[in-house]
Amino acid sequence: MAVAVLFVLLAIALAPGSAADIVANSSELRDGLTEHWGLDDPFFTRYFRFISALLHGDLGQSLTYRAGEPIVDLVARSAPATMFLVFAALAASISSTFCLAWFTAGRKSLSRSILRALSVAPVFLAAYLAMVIADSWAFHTTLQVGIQPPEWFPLLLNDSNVKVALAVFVLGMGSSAGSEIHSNIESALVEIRRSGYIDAARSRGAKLWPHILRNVAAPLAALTAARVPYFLGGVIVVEKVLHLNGVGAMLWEACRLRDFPLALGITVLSAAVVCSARLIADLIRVAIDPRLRGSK
Amino acid sequence: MAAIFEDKMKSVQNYGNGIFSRWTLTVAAVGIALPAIATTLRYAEDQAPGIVNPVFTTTMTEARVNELLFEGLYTDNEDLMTTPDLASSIEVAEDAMSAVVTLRRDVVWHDGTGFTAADVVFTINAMQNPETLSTEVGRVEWIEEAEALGDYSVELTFSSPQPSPQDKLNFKILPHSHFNGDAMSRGDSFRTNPIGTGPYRLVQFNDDNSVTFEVFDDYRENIGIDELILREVSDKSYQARLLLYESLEALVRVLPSDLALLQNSRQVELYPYQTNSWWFLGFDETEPPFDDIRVRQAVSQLVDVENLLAPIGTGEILSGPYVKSSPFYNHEVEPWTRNEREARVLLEDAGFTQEGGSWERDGEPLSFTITAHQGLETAQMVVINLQSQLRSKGIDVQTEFLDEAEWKVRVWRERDFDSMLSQWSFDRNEDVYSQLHSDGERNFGGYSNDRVDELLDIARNATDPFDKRHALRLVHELVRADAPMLFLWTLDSYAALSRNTRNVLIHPFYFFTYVGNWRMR
Amino acid sequence: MKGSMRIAQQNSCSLLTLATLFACGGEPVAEIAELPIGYEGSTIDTLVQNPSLFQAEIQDSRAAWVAFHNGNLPEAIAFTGDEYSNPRGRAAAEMASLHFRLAQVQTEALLTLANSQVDSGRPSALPLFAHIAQAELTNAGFNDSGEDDSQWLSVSMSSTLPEVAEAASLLSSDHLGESGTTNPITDRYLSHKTERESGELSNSSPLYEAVNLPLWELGSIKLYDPQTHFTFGLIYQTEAEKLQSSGLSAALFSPCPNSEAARVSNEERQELRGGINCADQISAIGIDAEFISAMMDGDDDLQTARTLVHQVDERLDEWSAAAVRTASPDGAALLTSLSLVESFRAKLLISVAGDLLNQGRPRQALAVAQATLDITSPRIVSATNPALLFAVLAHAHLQTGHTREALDALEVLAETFPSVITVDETVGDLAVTEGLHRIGDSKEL
Repeated sequence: MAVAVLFVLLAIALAPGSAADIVANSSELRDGLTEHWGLDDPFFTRYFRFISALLHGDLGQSLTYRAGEPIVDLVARSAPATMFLVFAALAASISSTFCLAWFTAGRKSLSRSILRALSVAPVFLAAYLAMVIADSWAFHTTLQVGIQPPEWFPLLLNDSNVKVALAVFVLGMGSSAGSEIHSNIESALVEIRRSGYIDAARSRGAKLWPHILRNVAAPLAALTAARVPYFLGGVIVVEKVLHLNGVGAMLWEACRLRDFPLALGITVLSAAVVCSARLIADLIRVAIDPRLRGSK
Repeated sequence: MAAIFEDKMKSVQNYGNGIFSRWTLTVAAVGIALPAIATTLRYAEDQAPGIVNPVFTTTMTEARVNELLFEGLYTDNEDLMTTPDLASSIEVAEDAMSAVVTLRRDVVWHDGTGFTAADVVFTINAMQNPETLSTEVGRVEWIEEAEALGDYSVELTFSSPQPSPQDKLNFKILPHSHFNGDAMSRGDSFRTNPIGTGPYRLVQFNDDNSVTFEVFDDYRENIGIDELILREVSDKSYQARLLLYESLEALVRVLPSDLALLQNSRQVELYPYQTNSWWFLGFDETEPPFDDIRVRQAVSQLVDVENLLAPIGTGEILSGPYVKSSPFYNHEVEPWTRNEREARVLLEDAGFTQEGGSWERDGEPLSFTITAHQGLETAQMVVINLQSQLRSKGIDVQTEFLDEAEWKVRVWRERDFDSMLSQWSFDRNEDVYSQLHSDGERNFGGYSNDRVDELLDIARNATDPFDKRHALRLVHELVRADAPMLFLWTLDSYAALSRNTRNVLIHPFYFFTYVGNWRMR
Repeated sequence: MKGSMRIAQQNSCSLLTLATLFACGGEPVAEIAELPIGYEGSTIDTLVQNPSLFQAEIQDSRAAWVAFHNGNLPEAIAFTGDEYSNPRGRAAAEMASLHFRLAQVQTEALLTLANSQVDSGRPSALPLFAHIAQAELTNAGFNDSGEDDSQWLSVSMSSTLPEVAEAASLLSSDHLGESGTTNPITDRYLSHKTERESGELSNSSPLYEAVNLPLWELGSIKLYDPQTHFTFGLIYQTEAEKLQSSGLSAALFSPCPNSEAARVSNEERQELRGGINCADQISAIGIDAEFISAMMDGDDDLQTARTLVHQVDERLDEWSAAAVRTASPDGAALLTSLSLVESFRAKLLISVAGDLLNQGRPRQALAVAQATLDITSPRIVSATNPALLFAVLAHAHLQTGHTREALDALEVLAETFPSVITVDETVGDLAVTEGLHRIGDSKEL
């Protein structure tokens, strides 16, 4: 975590402009604000100040996005929606590709190519296209023939479950996420099905799927944890394009307005989410895999 | 929150007293309590303003918001004649060196406090205060002193005779009680909690970057639309779709490519919104290579403006700082046209030689960066075409696109650029003083020509229309030759509103000036 | 450059139109559904069902009709020969309307300008020009207020500028033209008189040579001839009366829905100062007469005018549908390539806007004119943006205080009609005067 803060602070130090530049119209005011906000303090002073505040649960206040509001409050307000989006996308992506992989692993299948085609578009493009297509379709089938459009229409301006579902789909599939997860699960399944204990079970005439399921859980947990940072990155774009109010869109605005405490706060919390996901995945692996327990 | 709720209830009640009062009475009579439906107008801007303070306004988006929240002593009536707004009358001294403005007594600020002469005096002094560094200082420079004569009377003294000072008193007045001291700063908390006397008050900046404005209940006149929402929709082509989808009621500027679509719609009304605006490529005259007039002229003659314009829409190519229909446009002055031979001579005169296709001087290549604002629609296409045109002529051109924050710093404050692509919009006075006078606060490139300064001063102080016109047509001629910028084009511009919005009259520059009279079906 | 682009577009349009004109011919198609009000027997109905009638009408004068349809009136008038008399006569009538409208714009701007300069103390010929312009307005029957123009004359007679004082006293005497002196203002005045009496412009007329030059100049003051457009209007009106057309050729590309309406309008032309006016025909296409009378009884309210345009559009949408439904194959080609409904809409609404202006309803006129403009090519005179539209727009802008915006409309005309500079410069002077004490505002983006 401390390393993540170090990297983020370094990136901020290298970025052009500052919050003082946004607000100030004179060099005097800029200098005053820079001093007031401590933007010119030595790098490590800022680093240790932030770490020490963080240990006290204080992320500071927003400078330009919502001037003066505590960052904890800002993030707490938007985080549930974003977390839901990320984990729903993970769950949807992994469960659906798992189901598919169960049948396709080790075989030739057209569905693999279809999945690849579906998920080839980067998330920003997929989100935009999905929105345009959904809105045009709704417009042509409702408003133009004079009936009431669905409640979610148009997607861009209305918060609706349809928009969230679309965001979950795009995030779960876009930027090749769908095909990559599918192929990872397929490899894991192929490996498990070829393993000795499956052969043993098969020769015993026992049901195979409980064995496979138990053995695939650990790689699945690791895969899920590994995907969290990708999805956290993707959610910034998806929220921005689809006008969803979440932490991702807030981070975008924080960068645009050079509200570095806010950007830093969000990034650190994201890093915490990634670390937690890794930890949980490890715990699951330990719980499932007797060999790991034994080594402990 | 409770206050907002109370205000909403009040607005609902007011609405009941307004146009639908008969309905409300009927409903009450049969004992069914139906809430009155508040009317909302949602309009799109490419980007929501980061701060709201008329003293620091630089963009049209901010100017339009100002028109909702703030008022000046005088404003334009529907026939564009100067008419009292916060003032009730003015008495100009015989020598025209001073005037006493009497203020309305029925005006309150959005926070409920009364509007007084102290607010007027504070605004003028704060705008003039060098510490404020207002981008609008030019609009009060002619006032030498402002003094309150009681709560509702202000005496203004002038540095030169002002036979019709009310024509200049249209800058917005701000509440003195919300600022500390005699100066203002962009950092004041006012920027996100603006308080004005206008027909609408800012309720909040929302998480989706929209901004909600609600009708100000204590406004002295009846306002037709209860709520306005500024929607940030950065994708301009989607703005037109949203209007057709009836999810927006207004677009302030329609892309040329969407005009035909909207013109054919029976749900949409298009209104000319012709701010007199033109695009330009400005040069920094304080540094090489553009400190040399020959380089500026040469570059101006290496650009094929017609080809730059073609992909982005239809417009008119200009030879100077006015649109072609302007009374100041000098039709005898021709735009720079592509002339490679002449450009070559000029560059060689300036000490450049062409080695292997590239222009060089003292071993250094002729190289510069074009800086453009990200928010300028279709600017990317223009900059990239410009880059390829000039590169093919042996000039090394880099490009950079700045967001609003960096643009304010690099261009407005530090004036740190080689050349910049942007657009100026003017009200109908087409006053280019601040762009071209050596003292102008928008003269980013540091252009300076004594004769131009003199002519701009003559124009600003002229009492004779013929002299003013003559002077500014000369300015056009001189500026074209000096080439502090390459004047590009003006584009046709329209606003689009849903036909459910009625009685719409758009101010040719400030857009929302008459919004109080708008109604919704 | 702009000019060449415009010509190129017009040429391509002309070629398309020509191709269509050559291609017409064919059998009428039977009516299959109920037709909208006023449609049956309309010019559009006739043309799409019987394109051969159209072919017969235009076959000898095709090029002149093409120019007329595209709004290129000077070109249409330039065709000589009896076979061109129909399109030439129609173009002359439109030119008369255009110039009379421009004359009003120039005169109103000049009078406002002269009033604003009364106290300036700067000697100029402006009061004398105001006198001449106001007298013209009265003579042409536009000045209903009966305002006395003698004040300007008396001011001019006591001018410190000898040339102006001399011209003023000559104009006030009965012996103008007999004095033998040379005075540029009275000389031009006499030229106008000669041209009007002859009913046509002579090749040596100063109105040809010096039309875009100031008539009087002193220092920074440049004043343009206030009589130019009155003379043009009168001459074209005479020409139009000589070349009266009837039947299909009177109604073709006109604001009148059918030949009968065009005939009635032609009979009233004298009173209507030149052009064909069919504003009253909006009720014939199905606009509720009560709505129209309520509109004309009410205030000069722009929303009502917009509602009127919406209703016209709804009716004409039905016309379009009916035309598509009933057209023969050649008729359908005619309908789209000549933009029959769109150009009828434009001309009808211009008539309405002009009528509203004549009745002192500039806000409504402006609302109608703005809604008429085809904004897909807003700076080009065309079949859907006829020249008269820009003159009406300029006039409505001027009367509603939008002087600067009036210049935008005039700028479009300036390229096709060099004489518009006289109006443009006068309105420009007024725009500058109105902003004289203001400090301009400018913003980025």
